Amino acid sequence: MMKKILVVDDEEDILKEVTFILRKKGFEVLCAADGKEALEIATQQNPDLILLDLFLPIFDGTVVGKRLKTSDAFKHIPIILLTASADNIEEKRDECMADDYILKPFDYKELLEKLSKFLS
Amino acid sequence: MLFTMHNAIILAIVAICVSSVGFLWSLFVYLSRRTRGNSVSQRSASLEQLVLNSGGWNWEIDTNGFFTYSNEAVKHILGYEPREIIGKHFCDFCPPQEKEAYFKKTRELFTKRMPFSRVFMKYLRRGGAEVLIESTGTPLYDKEKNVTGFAGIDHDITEQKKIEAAFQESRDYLYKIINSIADPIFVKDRDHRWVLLNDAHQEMFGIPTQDMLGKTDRDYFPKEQADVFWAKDEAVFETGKENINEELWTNSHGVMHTIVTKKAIYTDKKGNRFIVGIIRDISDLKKVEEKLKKAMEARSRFTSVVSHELRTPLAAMKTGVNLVLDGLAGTINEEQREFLDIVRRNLDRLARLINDVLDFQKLDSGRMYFKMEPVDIADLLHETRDAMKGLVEKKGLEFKVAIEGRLPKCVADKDRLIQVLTNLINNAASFTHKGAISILAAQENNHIHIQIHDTGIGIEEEDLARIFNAFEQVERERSPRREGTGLGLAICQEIVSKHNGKIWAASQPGQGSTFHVVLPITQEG
Repeated sequence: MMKKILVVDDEEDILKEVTFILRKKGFEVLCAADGKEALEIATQQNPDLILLDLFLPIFDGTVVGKRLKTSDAFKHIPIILLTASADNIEEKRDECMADDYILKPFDYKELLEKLSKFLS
Repeated sequence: MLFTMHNAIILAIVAICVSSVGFLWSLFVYLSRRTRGNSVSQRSASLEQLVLNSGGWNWEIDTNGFFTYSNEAVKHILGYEPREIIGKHFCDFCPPQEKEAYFKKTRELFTKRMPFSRVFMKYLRRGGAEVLIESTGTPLYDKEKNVTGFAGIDHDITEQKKIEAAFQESRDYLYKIINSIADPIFVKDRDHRWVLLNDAHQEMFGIPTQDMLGKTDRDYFPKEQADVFWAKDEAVFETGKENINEELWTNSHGVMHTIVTKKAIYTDKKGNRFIVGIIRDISDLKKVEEKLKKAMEARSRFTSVVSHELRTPLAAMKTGVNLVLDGLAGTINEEQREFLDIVRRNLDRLARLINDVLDFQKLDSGRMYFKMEPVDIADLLHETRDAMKGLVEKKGLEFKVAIEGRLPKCVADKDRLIQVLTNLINNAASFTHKGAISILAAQENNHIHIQIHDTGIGIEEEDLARIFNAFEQVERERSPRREGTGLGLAICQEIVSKHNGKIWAASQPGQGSTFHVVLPITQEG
């Protein structure tokens, strides 16, 4: 069965590239460009994994992560932060209760490796 | 008989107060009056002896100023026998330039017919040396109460004056030094009263020193402020410990100053204790410090924002180039691949630069977070080797790791240490064209010594000292094309020093370099 991945980023270019790669690699991809949209899609579509940017319009990635991870219905969904803010990245990961992080700029192969680790 | 009785009593009193010339003098005058009318030979021999013993020169002059009597003491004071001066005018023994003034003074005293004391005058000793005299005298009367002359006792105070002058001079000297010190100085007694203040103190507080002496902080400062000063001074008195306090102080214009006071205890010969304090106004320093702090914060924010803003487009570029290069968007020809490869390499270089600048900035401002835990160095070396193997072997170099015995654990941040080793191996690989890179690790006493050796081009001796400085790359003509940031080794050094370790390099140009990292073994954790 096709794994469903929610990619959340307000950078259109990155969203487009990541979506392209993931679809090529056989994933079903859902996209969100702000925090509100991300929460709506996550709760309605129940993805298998979320790639989450931190700085997002409306409300940021930390809020999205915390909401989902503190909810019994969604806390099982792995969240990988995909962010360019390198400052205290471990702290930020813990704060939004994410499972892992990838720092931008990233190697998409590393991204695929992490995906397969969480989806196996 | 009665006379002798009198003498005996008085002598006893004199024995107690023998140092008091004034007393002696009144005694002498009293007795003189009693004896006046008797012949000089009837004067008390004991009394004369007493005056003589006190070192006093006893003399009498007539109304014209001629000596009519002198005791033996004149020999010590002026170097003349009594007979040599009797019949001479007292001004014959004075410095010529003073005569006029002395004549005038004498006439005045004679006219007033009053006793005098503490009159200072100069005489000339036999031979011409000046002698300073303190003179005490009283008029002499005949039976008809007519003044017949003066009698008196003089003492040589030349030496005493010299000592006093020297004392005054050294006192002035010290005061001048204390007053020329630009920092306010104060001395307070055990009751917190000011006993000494210098000019700088007066200037800073705007209150005349003479007003403040004898007063305390409570007389001049608002209660809350005075209480703080008081308590801090009291603590110094109680502990006896030298103490440096930073205090806030509002001046008379309502301007807040930050002052630092260094206080110490001084105990005088009698055992009285004093606080000696030096105040330094560090308000300007504080302002600079404040500005610097703000500038550092602004720089940190700036670097972090810039780094974020640079990373985002880099990420888009890198991902785009990579997916094309890897054929995800269709096949590309060799030439296209070659040029896209250039783009990819330079994007990586830019990313490294951003990472290094950010790391260095964080280390420099102390904002780098270290996760210290026991780390197995052997594991760490194997992990590093596995990660770097590809890169080293791709260059056709041999890659060896040798660990001597079993290494104990070190308390360290594993990821940061891997960063150091990766950086050193990367450097070694980029400066070595054939041969090997070998890592050697061993325990030496209470530290672990790691060596990264290469068979590369080596480092000139003059460059060895500065390769760890930030932005110091060895000049380009002496090294091959570099893609480094000039920060790698500076970052390594910062990370190693945060582990209380040491890092240095040794090299034989043309034969290779060895980078040494020494880490302390700590039992903690």
